[in-house]
Amino acid sequence: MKDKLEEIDSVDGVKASFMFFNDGELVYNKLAPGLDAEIYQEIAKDVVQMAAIFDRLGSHIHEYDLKYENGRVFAYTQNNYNIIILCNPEVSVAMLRLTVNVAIADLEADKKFQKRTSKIETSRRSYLVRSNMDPESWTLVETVN
Amino acid sequence: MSNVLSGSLAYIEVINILKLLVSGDRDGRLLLQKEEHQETGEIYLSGGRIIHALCGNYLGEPAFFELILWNHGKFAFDPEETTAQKTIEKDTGTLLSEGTQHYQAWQKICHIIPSFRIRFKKTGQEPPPNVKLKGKDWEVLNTLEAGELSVTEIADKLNTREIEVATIMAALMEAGLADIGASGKPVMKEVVSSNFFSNLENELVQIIGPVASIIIDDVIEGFGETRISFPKDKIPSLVEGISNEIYDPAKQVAFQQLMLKKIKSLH
Amino acid sequence: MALVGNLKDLKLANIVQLNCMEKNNSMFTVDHHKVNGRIYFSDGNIVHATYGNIEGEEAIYKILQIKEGPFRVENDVPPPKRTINTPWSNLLLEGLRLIDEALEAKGDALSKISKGIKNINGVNGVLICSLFGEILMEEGIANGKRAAAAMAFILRKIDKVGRASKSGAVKAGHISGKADRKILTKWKDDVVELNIDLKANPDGVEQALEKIYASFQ
Repeated sequence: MKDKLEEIDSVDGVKASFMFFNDGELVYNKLAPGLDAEIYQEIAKDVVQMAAIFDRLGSHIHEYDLKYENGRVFAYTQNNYNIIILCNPEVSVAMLRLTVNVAIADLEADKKFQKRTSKIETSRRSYLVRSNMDPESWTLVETVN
Repeated sequence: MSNVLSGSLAYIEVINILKLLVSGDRDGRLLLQKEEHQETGEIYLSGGRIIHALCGNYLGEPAFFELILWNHGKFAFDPEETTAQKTIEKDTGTLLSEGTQHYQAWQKICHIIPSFRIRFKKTGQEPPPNVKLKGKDWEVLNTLEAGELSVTEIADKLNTREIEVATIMAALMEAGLADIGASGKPVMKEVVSSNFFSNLENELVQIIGPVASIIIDDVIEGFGETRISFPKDKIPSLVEGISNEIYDPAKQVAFQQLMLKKIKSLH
Repeated sequence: MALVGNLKDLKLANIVQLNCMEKNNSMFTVDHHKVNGRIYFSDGNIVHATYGNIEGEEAIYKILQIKEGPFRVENDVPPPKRTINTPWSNLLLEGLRLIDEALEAKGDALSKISKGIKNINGVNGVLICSLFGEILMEEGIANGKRAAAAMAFILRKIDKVGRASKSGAVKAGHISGKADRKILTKWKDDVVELNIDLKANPDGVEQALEKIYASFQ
């Protein structure tokens, strides 16, 4: 797993990448400047919540390319795990996508990884609870539900 | 497909072709094709009225106003090609009149601005006393602070249409505030080796069969590039484009795995 | 407590009229998206108002814009100070006029934006909504109310991820699946969602959209 993250980290413009399993496990090689593991967890939970909302709408989304003034965040949401990549604005997008697609294919072909993900029972939907978010967001979730 | 009218844009302006078709109350599609980047544009008529236009990312009037500036490449009118889309509401007479004015404005500056891709620089001179610069003029001039830029690059930076930037640049040049840059032409990028595509085609044929060559050419054309001068830094995008055309997921992955290895070996 | 209710059932203008004509000395309170608004009535008129940190007539105009939220009116609450001297009927008229004007300007801008969006090649659906999920404009989007709530939620999350990762303000989100592709952006404080064809170039669509926004600056 970490070797795949390392490959992703080596793409031009990537600051750091991490993997988050829906049962809460976080895997990473390095922390992006100014961030810690708790922030990685927070970002990951927000990503899973987004994926859960799209599930409710019947949309099967798997890629998020989020552009900001000073950075870019990519998130790949698979069934039981997620890969999140923190980048500079000038990241080589096509190269990153290619690397991530190949990494995901390699991971999902790996028996050990398959075993790990098959054990996960936590659903994305379980992240959409009132205690996990601010009141306004919860009101919105209730409307979608 | 039947061709009622076709030819080269070097000899007749788009606006005049349209006037001809409109006066004949024609139905059909005027297809335009630029030489260098193989870009195409389409303008549809119904009963002599212009009802739809399509050019790159734009539909309707914005597409129309881009297309009437095209002055090199080919055109062909096909009366059998029709459309159900109606993206242009404006009265055709008014549209043609506005189009003519737009084209004439462009004519005035196109001998000063030979291409949207040539780079310009600041001369560093002060504006002459009779010249009053507006906000947008300063914005364009200020983009040149960091270095030489082309009209296309400036339009991108400022989120403005290329023709608007070109008009301002022409005025700046006439006022002595900007000039064609020392670099003159756009920077040449590193291109792939001569056997890159034959190798790529051989690999891809193994994965998806003889249709490989067509897919590769289609994707290259989509980038506005050619096999001979394909920039190295566009290879990842090329791979992405080709893999989007491979519908079998297993074959798609196999291709991507192969290409990732190749790309790493190139650097 | 003299009166308890929700502004979606009872218009503020009616509440004001009631308290003034009855010459009540009372305080009206409403909570709106974490901000507290208060209006103090004394002897047939409005004498003071607050909305968050804002005081006086401006607070009244802010409170007049609230369309729903729980409120209560309590009797015999003296105003802490006097910041308003304009007769209540004038305040209402002016307030409603300002609201109409702002709505018209916003409506104009939104209608220009949606016209511009229709000219972008590759867009097959548009939804514009507030960050609270209120639909401002929609075309080609199924189940508008749920979609609006979802997009408002998503954009809030995108914002949050940007802050947590120290990436700065949101510019756009490109969201893709096997059968869906969307671009989410913010225009002023509202959410703009574009559904785009799978074959369309999302960067090209985003650029075309940015040019439309730029034409309003």
